[in-house]
Amino acid sequence: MAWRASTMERASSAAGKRIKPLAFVRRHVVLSVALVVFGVIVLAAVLAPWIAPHDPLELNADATFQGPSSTHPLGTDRYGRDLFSRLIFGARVSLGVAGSAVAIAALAGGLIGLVAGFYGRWVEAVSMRLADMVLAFPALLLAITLAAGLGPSARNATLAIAVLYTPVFARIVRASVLVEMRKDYIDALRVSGASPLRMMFRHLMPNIGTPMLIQATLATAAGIELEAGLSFLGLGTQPPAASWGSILGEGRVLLTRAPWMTIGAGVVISVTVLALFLVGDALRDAADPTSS
Amino acid sequence: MRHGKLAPLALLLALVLVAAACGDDDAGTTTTTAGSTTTAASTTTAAPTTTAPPEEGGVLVAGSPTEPTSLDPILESVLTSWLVMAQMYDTLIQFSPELAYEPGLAESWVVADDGMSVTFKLRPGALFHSGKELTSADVLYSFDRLRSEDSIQGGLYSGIADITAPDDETVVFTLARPEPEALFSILAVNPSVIMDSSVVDASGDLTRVDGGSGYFVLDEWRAGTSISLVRFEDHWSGGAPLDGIEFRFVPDELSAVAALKAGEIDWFNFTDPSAAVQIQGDPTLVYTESSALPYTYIAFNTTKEPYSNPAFRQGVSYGLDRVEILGLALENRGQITGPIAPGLPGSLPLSEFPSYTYDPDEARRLIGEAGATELTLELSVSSAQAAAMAAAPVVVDQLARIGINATIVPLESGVWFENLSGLNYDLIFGQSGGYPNSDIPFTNSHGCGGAWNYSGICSPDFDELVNRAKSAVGAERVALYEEASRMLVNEMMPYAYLFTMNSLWGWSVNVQGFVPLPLKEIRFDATYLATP
Repeated sequence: MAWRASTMERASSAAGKRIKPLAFVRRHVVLSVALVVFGVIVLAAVLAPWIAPHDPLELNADATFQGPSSTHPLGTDRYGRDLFSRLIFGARVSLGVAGSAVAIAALAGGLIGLVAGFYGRWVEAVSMRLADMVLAFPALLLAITLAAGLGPSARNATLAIAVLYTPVFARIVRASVLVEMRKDYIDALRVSGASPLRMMFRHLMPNIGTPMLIQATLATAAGIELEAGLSFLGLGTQPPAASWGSILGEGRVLLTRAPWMTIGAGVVISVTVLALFLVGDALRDAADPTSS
Repeated sequence: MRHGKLAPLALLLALVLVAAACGDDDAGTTTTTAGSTTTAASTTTAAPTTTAPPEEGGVLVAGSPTEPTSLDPILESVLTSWLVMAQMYDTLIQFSPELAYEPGLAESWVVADDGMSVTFKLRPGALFHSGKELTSADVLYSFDRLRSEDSIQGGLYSGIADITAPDDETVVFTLARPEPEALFSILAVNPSVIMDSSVVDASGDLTRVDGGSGYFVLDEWRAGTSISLVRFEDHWSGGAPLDGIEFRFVPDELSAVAALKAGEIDWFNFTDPSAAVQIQGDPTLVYTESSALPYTYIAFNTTKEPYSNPAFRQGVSYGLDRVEILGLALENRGQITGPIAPGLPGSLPLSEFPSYTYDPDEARRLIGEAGATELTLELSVSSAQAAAMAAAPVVVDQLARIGINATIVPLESGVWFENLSGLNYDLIFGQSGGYPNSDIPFTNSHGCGGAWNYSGICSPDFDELVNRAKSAVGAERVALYEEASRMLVNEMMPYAYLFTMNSLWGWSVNVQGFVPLPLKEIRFDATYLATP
């Protein structure tokens, strides 16, 4: 029976002893920093109502276009709304949209890939060709078309991104399944009369976890970028709700009067996406048996 | 060996580079109008002029945010299309900068004693760009076209009963009601232009050709890039000072700022104050604000509950802090207004409108009376209207304070207008026409079945009051208008009237003689470029 092998366990089995946190950090500095940064952002998003100094929707006519100060760490926008609070609540939107989209894509794509890889023949051919069709479109263009067609909203942006990434997960899962299908234990299961459902869900699925996790990390990073892009164009999160992309969009016209809007949103998006990419990269390296 | 493989590749690369360098540098297609260019440009200035144009001329490069879909006066109502067309066509009468009526293609006019008709004397010898002389037949033809089924602003002319031409130089407008004032204001605004029937006969319509008699002739339309006009030398006024105008399409207001600063364009009309103020401080540019008549409002869909309940509408009005909206959305670049813009007969001081005083408690009470507590609604807004978009979050916040949960629904311009005119909304932002006359808004926007009645309101008492006002003169007329205003705001409130927006202009210091009107009309007939 093949066990699900996590990065940690592989590392420990390779080293031959139990993993120590400090040693891990020293060996994987970049990954650790990226994980911490991402963790802080997620925590901020979750704890937003408690840690944000102001209500992100609160208008303040006396405090418009202010620079960073003690009351407003990152300044205010044209309505006197606190930028720092809006960025924290914006994290909820961005992570929420990207996270849900990736979850939907992983679920739908994973199922499609599982079935395609297991049954093969026309099921595989049809589903993979459909996946190819979607993958042929430039990502942002397809996202814009879908979001515009469905109607601009955060919910439809989620759906658009999910549609975009379902074929990606489908292909990855199918590839993993094909690799697993060649292994002996599958033949053994077949001979022993295990039902297809049992084989797919009880045995195949646990072994495709790692590639899916890596892809999920990278897809979430891309999802955050796409949500920001859609909201920037007015096709995602609608005013007055705060989203990193919409803050970037509002800040564009106000660049000379409130540059901290563009800087703040831009830095936050870049840092989050970079952190996720680094985590995904590190996971991919760790899972690849050919790298050191 | 290596040289052998590299040489053909290098040759190919060189050929590609040469081809690219020699290629045409403008990507757009060129459309020239049939005949008009050569006719106008080659004729020498013939008629004696009353005012000689200044020595300076020049070609004004005016930025425009949207390319016109067409240049046919009966098919366009969009401001950016009329920006171009207003220079190509003339009206019978036109507005002076002080909003008095001046002769245009009509030299003089006489109002009948009973006020039911107006007789216009046309200017003799006035020419179209095609060379044809203007006669009364052209006026009849133009208004037939303007009042036809296809005409997009045909509703403007509903007060005209008949138009006749006793002779070549005379046109008589007979009215449905004794309202000559209304007629003048209609004839002086954009859509009421006089068109050349011979051009329409030759081309079918005026979408791509010039059928006008105005100060400038259509020269070239490079799709996606610009529209160029040249001075009409045989214009009845002697001709405008400018040699020509190039309307260059600028995708957004920030690009316009950059283009102005770089000297790529000489003039731009902004809608977003945040962009416009960025040209301040630049010594080569002039930033101007002028007051304007069009105002922003929020329409209630009075055909649906609870918006059909006057108490609800009054309540919302009490709950709107107009001072805060004007401050946050426009940074006070405008004026809070009632249904009639400040300065026109029928406008009243805001103290006459109790619901204009911000009172959230009273708002809640009235909304409760209408049985609409804890209401959720959609606030539609056109994404092309910068002032409305800026005001929307503030309005949503203020509605939340009185227990209404509103969601902003930004709509593309075409869809917005469909929803507005089709009464397919809960609350929707809109913009008034800004006519310098009280009859038009009272009748068209607020009358039962009015052509621009986008709220569905209908009050026979109000209509009767307005009819009495239209037939009255002088002080009595003003008093009746004021009573109508009071009724609109304090009893009916089909729209929550908000504020006028100042027009925002940016132009190069070389641009002289441009006078912003408080209307939507923009004219370059007195503009010229001082040589730098």
